[in-house]
Amino acid sequence: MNIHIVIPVWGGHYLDLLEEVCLPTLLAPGNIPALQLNHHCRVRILTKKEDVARLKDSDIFCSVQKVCQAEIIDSSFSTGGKMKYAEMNACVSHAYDTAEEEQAAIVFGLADFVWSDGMLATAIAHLAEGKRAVLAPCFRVISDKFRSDFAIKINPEQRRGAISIPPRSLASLAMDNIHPYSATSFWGESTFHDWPFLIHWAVKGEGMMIRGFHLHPVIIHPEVYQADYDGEIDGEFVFKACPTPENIVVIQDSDDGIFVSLDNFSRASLNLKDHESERAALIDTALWARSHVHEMHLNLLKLPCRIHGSEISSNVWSQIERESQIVVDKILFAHKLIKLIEELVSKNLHAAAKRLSAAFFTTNLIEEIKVVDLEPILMDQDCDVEDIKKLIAKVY
Amino acid sequence: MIKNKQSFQKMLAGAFDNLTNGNLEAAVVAFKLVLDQSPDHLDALHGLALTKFHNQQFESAKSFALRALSQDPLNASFLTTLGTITQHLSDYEFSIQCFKSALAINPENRNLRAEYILLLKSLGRNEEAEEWNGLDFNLVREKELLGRAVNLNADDKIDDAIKILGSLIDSRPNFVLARSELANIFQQQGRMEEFIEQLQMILKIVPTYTQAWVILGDNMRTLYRLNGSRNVVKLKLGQEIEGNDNALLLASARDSYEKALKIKPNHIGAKIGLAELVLEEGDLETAIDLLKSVLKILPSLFEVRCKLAKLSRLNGQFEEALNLFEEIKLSDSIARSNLIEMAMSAFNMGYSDQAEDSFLMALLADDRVRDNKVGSLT
Repeated sequence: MNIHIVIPVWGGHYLDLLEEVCLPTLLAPGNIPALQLNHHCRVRILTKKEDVARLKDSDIFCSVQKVCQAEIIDSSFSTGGKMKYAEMNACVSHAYDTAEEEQAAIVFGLADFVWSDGMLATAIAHLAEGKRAVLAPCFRVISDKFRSDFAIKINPEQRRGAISIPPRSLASLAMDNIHPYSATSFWGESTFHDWPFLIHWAVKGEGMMIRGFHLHPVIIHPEVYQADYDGEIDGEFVFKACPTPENIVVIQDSDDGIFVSLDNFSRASLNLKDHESERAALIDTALWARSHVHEMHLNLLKLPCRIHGSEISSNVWSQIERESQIVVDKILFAHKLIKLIEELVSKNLHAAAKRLSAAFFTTNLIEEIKVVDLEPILMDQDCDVEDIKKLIAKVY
Repeated sequence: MIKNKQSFQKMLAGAFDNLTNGNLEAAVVAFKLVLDQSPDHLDALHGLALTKFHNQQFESAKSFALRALSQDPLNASFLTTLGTITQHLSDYEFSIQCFKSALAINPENRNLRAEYILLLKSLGRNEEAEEWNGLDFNLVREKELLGRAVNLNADDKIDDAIKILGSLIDSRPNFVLARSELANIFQQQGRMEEFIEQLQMILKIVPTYTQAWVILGDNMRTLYRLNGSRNVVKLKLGQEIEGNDNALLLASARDSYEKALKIKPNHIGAKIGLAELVLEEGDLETAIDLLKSVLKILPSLFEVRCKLAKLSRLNGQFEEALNLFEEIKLSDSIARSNLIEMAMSAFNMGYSDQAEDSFLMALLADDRVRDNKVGSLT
């Protein structure tokens, strides 16, 4: 199989990260070299004209070339200016078209990612079993703190190219340096980020459990190459490229592989919400999900992912999984209620929609997942009973 | 009534003519006429400050100079005027600071430098005065490099812009315009700690920069919240907390807001920031009082009205909360959280029809309207 490792990157800060952590950890024995044993890897770095020379002259790029085919592409086809996501999209679209020509699988190796040794070996093993997309949660760590701790832990002899960091070491280091963005994504905290694409639960002394609407693709071997790339790599794109849910697998234990992204202390951290109650958090999360996630993302939330730096006590984790599953059930139920209310509005059943909205916000419908109690709320309206029943059946 | 732009300019020019010719009463009338039409007109505010100064009404002069300065905090002329006024009010420390700030912005102004040296000498601070004697600045080169950095930033060549600004600051640490540009870059880049460091340096050079005090306070408060969340999570994960100086951040934020309010007692941003801060400390009553005082200054502030309504509801004042919401003209830009608050207030009051309407509106609202934004220098 042909595998393209695609890395869009520009600007000194991100080039530093690419050279210092991303490419070295991708070169660990259980990552690109493991793929190269049975497949043909091609590292494709898309960058701006002014950064090409620096990358070509770098030691790490020479190291990559020794392992597999590698190329640096001038991404002047992209939009330019300050629209970083638009530029990123243009780069990914370009890489996607090239991958289609070779029917290649794609690894999206973002420059600020750090990879545990063996993550790509795990991913390719799933592909060998017939899966087409392998996803994993990616949480944020504070860049400068992580980098200084990382530098201390790395054996100087390793600094010549590949850096192998075992999953548990990376998980520990990452949790020690957890970014405020991720810290404000822990369920039950009064301060919560208003973009809850991942939700965390702490497992004291052992690690954390993550459930996510948006999980990042480790590798994708598209079923459909003509998917339009638009938005985020971890957005709808995954499901357009791999529309068969059974062909998507999630790495649920960090021992099988973990990656984290490095971020400045405050970036994207300034939109915080204070929740007065769990109901408020459930409502906010469900409303966010209704606007920002694909239907298939809802299924991903059901999959708990264990991040740990040591042996785990399975009974403790099982309990957290059960507790978090209850939260997920409530969020998904709230999501269904929102859909039902939207359906009512679209059918001009405004009175029923208003009544259900009020119940949604002020009663314990969501906390108690009261499906059966919906009918009395809705039937007491000046509208067709059969219509209401059909709508309820459609949503549930 | 001034009918058009041309007559407006004519009025302003006439006011300055009167000032120059010593017709102070006529100048005051003319400047006030301009301000009636355009209450924040910088030249009119500055002109009025100068007129009042020449009329020996120093307190009044100071307040007009501060009003001008609060809108254009890095204006060397305004700082010079304020320095001169406060010198006559015998507030020598403040006066020295104003001159020093003005010279940091415009070091080539020889008259200003001479005036400053004279003031230092009159206060017996000869050593400081000597430091300014014979100093030479390559301002043409400075301006050229600063312009280049601004252009590089506009072209997204951030690293190159930072390098140039860094070298400019190395060669002249009080080059406040370079620091200001650097602070903007750090803020755009989300480099919060470096942004705060630059703000602190700017405020050492120009302590009258009220907006910068407020932004510093806002950022300190945000840092406090982020660190606080991180610390809670670290404890939950069974990890040790690094340092324990988070409370100091809140104290620094308070200090920043208070400094802004000392210079401009009606600074809206500082009052709002302080209200958020006391709320963080659990003092709901003071937060409500502060927000009410903001609405007295500017009744149309939509977000403040919403915030006050929320706090009133939390304080059990449901009717007051609802009245506040009813005074707001609802628009597409209202955040969903405010619609929920409005619905909850109606629900608490037992107005079920109104509550149901608002709950549905909240549920269908555009969630791209986000709240809790932190201010920007620009």
